[in-house]
Amino acid sequence: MNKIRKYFSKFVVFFFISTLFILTSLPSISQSADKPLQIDIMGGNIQAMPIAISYFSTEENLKELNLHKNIPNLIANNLINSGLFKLLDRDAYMQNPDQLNARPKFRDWRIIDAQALISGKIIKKTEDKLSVSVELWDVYGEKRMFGLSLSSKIKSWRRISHIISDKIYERLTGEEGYFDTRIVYISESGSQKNRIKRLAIMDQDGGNHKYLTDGKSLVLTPRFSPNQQQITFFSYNGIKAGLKPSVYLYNLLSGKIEILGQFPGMSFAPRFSPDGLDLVMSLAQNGTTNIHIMNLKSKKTNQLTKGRSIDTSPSFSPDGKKIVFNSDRSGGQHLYVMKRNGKNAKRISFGRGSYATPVWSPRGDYIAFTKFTRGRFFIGLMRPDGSEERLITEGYLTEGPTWAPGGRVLSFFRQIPQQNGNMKTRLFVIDITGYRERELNTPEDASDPAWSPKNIN
Amino acid sequence: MKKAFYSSLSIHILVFILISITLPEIKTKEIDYISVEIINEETNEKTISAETKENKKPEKKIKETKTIKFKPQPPKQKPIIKKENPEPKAKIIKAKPPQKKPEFKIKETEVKKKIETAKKENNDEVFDDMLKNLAKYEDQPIKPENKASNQPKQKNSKSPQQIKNMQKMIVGKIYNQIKENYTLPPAPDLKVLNDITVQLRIYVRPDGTINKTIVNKNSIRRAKEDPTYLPYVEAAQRAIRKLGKFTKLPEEEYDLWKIIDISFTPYQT
Repeated sequence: MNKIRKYFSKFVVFFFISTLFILTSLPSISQSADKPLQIDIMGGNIQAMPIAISYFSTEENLKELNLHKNIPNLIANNLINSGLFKLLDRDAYMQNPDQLNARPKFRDWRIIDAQALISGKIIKKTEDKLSVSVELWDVYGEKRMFGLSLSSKIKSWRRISHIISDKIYERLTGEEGYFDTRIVYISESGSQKNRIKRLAIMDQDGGNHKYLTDGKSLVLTPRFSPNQQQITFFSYNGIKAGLKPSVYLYNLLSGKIEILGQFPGMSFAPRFSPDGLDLVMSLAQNGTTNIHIMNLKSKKTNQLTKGRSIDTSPSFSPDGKKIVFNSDRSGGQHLYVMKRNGKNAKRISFGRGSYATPVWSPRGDYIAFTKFTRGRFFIGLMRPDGSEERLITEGYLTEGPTWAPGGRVLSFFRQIPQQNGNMKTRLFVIDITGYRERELNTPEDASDPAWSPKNIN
Repeated sequence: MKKAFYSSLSIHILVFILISITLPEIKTKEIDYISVEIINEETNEKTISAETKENKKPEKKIKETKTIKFKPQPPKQKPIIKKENPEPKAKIIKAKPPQKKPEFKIKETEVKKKIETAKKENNDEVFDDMLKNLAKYEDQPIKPENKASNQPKQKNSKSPQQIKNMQKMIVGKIYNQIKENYTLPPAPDLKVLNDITVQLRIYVRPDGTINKTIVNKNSIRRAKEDPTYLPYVEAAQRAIRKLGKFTKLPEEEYDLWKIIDISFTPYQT
């Protein structure tokens, strides 16, 4: 027994020593292996992504419709207008649309430095129906990034193009697309004294333009419902209500107009809650202007702010828990954020000048606003706590920001003085960096845009 | 008694040999990288077929491919770009565009440790700390412990100063060649700057050809979870693919640059 104990104790000692030896030798062995060199690449080249969008291949009997060119052209316009992409000249493409039906020869596309390639095919399914299939290729990665096939009526080719644009944009940027959306705005015509204001709607790129009202009544501040095909707006003269100022609801599907309320005094800027069940607006009564919330079902109205100050332009946060508005309660016109029930109002703007028309981004990360300072109007952005204020564009009269879905692009309107003394009013689109601004084509003067949510066409 | 002693001794020696043999395996498991991708143009049919398989499952970004065929890149031509796409105008007050000043740093164990700590602790704070420390390395001599890890095999005896200068020169050349090919992805927002670092490891052949690229496991995981991060991973990969081959790297110092860990930080604070 003693012998066994002796051997065992020897074994333990030996095991301990050998383990110790192994452990101590470990670092020296592993250190002998090659260590990678560390490189930090800080920053990068900033340029629009070069992409190739080939015309689509199609059947001979479809060529007369020219959709094999119109659809890729519309996709290209959408992507280029985002400012994030540049289209490579089609004359430089070394493969034609039919050759792209097979796997692309990536080397041919790398020669022109295309980083992404879009190819497609159009097939006629029935007399008035077509099928469009599109593929997005990673030229340097030599792989297909996605494929998509859509079928619809031929007359809906613009919508198909917008949907495809959204998918490509989302895949390449990781952000929500905003091309399959519409903008409702106030179309203005006639002299300054006799101004005719009509409600109008169009695709976000200016296509499919149409008027919703005939101009007999003055319409203002249209706003899209977040989840239905409805628009709310304010009318001075009323469409059906004589001369009383009223808030209306326009159903885009049926064309029906419903009066939501006739309010004593003036009412301004009705705006939907994110769930579409309530409207928040400011009402001028007895010399004060306060913010009210109205339930669309019960039509019951609750006053959210009280006092002698002028509180206007309320806008919900995307979670519906807070409301941003502007008020002159501290003297100057500034932005405030309060709870949905009107409590805990906190001032968030502290810069020089007057702040107005705040709109909460659909992402919740920014509040866009109009600012008037030093005789100029600006469109600006700030975080919901008031930090990181930036002015992204300016003009003689620039106001009315409205967010596109995704919260990375917004629209606004600007009055531009003309040489003959008249004013031209136009809609513009700008991204949140402030670097990419462009004018939207409208048949007449245009103001007060409201961007629709996605996929409610 | 003797028999038992010898048998015990032989078992222990066997255990020791086994452990020594499996040590490299242990070491590779420590590396937090997965999936392999072939860089460079390939004309080999086998390679293409492997790529085709990849295309059938586009959601799997990176796959292991065994066929490697190298060919020099075709000459780069300037792209023909439509003039309809004018440069955006600068406005009164704008978002700060990412800085263009090239900077490079060498960091070894210290920085690695900090990255690991960052995973455990509050990310933002630790990243801030790391960036501050990185700034300290700027224009400063490389610390001796950093040198040691990347030190080339002592084929010819060089002074520490010479080695340091060589390292700086190599890092500078690698940095410039990658940076030249690195374009920020089409991101509509200027993101929180320290939040989108992408880490890659590349293996380089003695002639400078980039043999394979491995995306850091964490970067892959995040790209799967966050679609806004994926374009940054793709942009980093694209930069390496566009580059294809390093030039003017000293072959005698191959050990120094045969494996390179690259951190792409698109926006700086």
